[in-house]
Amino acid sequence: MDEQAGAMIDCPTCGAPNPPGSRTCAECRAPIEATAPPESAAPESQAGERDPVSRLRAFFDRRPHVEPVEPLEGGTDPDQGPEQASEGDLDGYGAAASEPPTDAQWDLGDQPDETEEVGARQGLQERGEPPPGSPVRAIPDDGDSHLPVWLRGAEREQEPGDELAWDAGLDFSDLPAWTERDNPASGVPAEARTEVVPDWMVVPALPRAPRTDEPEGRGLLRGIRGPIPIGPIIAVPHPAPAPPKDGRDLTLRDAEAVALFAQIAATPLPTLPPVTQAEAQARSWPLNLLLLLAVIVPLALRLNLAPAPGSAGARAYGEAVASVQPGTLALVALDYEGGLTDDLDPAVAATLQDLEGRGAGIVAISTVPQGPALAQRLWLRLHPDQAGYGERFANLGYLPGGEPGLRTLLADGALAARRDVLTGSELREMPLGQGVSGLERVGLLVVASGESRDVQRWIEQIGSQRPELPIVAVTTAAAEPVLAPYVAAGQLRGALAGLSATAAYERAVNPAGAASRRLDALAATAALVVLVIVLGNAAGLAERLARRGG
Amino acid sequence: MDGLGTLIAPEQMGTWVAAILTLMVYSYLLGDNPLFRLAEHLLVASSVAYAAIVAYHTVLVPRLFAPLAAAPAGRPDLIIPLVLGLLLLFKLLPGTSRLGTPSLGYLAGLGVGLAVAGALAGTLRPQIRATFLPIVPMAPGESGQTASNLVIVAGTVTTLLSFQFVSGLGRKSAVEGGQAGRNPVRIMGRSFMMIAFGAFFGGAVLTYLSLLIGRWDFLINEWLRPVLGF
Repeated sequence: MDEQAGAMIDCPTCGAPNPPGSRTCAECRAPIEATAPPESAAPESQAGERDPVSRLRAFFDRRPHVEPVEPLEGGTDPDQGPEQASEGDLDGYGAAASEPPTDAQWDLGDQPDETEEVGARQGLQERGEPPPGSPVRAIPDDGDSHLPVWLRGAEREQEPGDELAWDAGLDFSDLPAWTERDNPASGVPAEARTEVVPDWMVVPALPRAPRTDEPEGRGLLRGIRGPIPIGPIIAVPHPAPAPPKDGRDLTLRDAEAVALFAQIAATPLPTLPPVTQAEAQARSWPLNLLLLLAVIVPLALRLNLAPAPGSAGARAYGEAVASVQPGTLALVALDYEGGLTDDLDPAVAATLQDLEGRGAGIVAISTVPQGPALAQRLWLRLHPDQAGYGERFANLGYLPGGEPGLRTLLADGALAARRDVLTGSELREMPLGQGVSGLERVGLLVVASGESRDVQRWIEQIGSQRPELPIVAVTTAAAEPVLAPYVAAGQLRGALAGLSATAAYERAVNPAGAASRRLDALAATAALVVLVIVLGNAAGLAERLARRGG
Repeated sequence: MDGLGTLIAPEQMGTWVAAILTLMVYSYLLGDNPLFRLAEHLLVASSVAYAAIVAYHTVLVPRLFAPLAAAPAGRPDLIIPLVLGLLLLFKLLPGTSRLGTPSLGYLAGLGVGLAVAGALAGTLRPQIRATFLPIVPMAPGESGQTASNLVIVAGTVTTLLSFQFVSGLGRKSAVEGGQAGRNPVRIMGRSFMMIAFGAFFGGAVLTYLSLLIGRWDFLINEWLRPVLGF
């Protein structure tokens, strides 16, 4: 088998290319026996350029090197060149060539049993030697010996543009009719020439790539012909997809989708100029300075210009606190940490002062670790000498566990068993807790927290089980919208939310309280915020109008 | 220390410390700096340490360690929480974290169970009952209250209907011929939600302003005014 480095070998059965040196086809497993001299093996890609003679040579080159045993009709000597062949020989052979060669023409005569010596015979054939006992004579390989007589010597290099020159002097009368179309001298126009070959010369083809002239019949690609080029798809910006060109009618949905996509794709993305940190600070420092002045000046001057605010929430809260009977207990839950003392301490301090003034006992508790310390601090502010501790005030410390911890307060005797953080005594042992067991002697539950979730937890765990127990909340302005439904539903008797409501409640209890002192600053900063919002929106609107007009 | 005590009264030490730490935090306005980071670390460390000490002295010692130490055999009911608590410590190590899963599961299961039960009884049922309001005047002079009730009912109903999970209206997109963008119920529901979100935002802004005013009130009226005497 001849090998040529880098040249693929086509399988004689299926035509699949195989690497040089292959003995069996990787596709169909047929033995690859034939080899072609490099100069005669025209590549398929050059089919358009090959002359018919070269193609014929290539075909015959693929066949095994077998010579008929008997001389052909006319007694032609295989060793004779084509110029020695008689016309009758050529005629006979030419006529025979129009039909598929029969087995007799390839008959090797008496041969050994094929089933026994197939492999050996193939090996001998590969070496160009006749099988043992074969009447076939070894033909010296002169390049043309395997070709039909009429084809020998007809090989000719076809120069580009030389289609008419090569065939001058050659007699094509004995060529099969199927070669006539490809004969430049036949008079058949070049564009009419087709690669028509007999069926027996056509090797089975491998599955080919999809034909470009077949439109897709279903799915999202319905109506699209051929492979979709990747360039327009991944190109940025992505152009709107063109409708299929095969005349398929688009549905209204498709048209709307295409139009919407085109509109979106055509909309330019807004680009903002990059702003450095220094520029951002330069832009914001005047506003920050104004805000700081709005806070500092009213606090320093203490002009008390802001009027007393009216708050329905503060009114309801005050009424709930006023409903506490003397001698009953008020359970005050301080569920906030040090960061919110500025906002909630004034309200809680006013509440403690109000409750003490009405003769109620105050029991502080907390579900956060910092709560007991805050409660202690507030009591010390009211009573720096700790007067009344244990008689009018007790601090039951930290209640861990979240919802399960709150549930433990519902148990009989649970409240009375808790110990005071300062004295270490149980509540039942203190003057304040005489006769106290559970929540039955608690006349009011005050929950102070910056998070609405903490207030909700008390309502869900305690208020749902003790609906007769009044519950009020002290919270921030941010949590007020969440707690408003509970006030509307009656689950909260009142909610003191924000500095305004605290100031309104505080003025009834302690007019010189901290919340009242801060009202001027709150009014000034709120006015500044509103002014900036209005001016900013006006400037933006004016800019948009100017852009449209321009 | 004596020199410092003549300048600052002992009862004012806490105020000075608080004022200095406040200014250290405000130094962030000039950019990230070591003073701000020191104040930030002090806040975190003191909060965590204080919570740990409070939990140890007010919960673990009086409720677990002291009773067990006094009579170990007399309190078998405390063995279970002791074991569960010790197993929870294994969550710290990646290799043994699976040992703490039962404790964590018990905590989560109990907490979730009580939370769900409380939410049903304390929030869902009362709130639903509270939306059953008369939208027709039942007596003369109740027009204002009736209008308020009508707004509450309309807002509740349209807000619930505007969510995709329950709304069967406008499931198709506009390209497919749906009416999602033009459904009046959805428009009204989303309008109510936008109003609520605006109220949340306004409350948050007021809270931040209140905190800012509170801090400067402390600096001016509780720190500087006594020191400077103005």
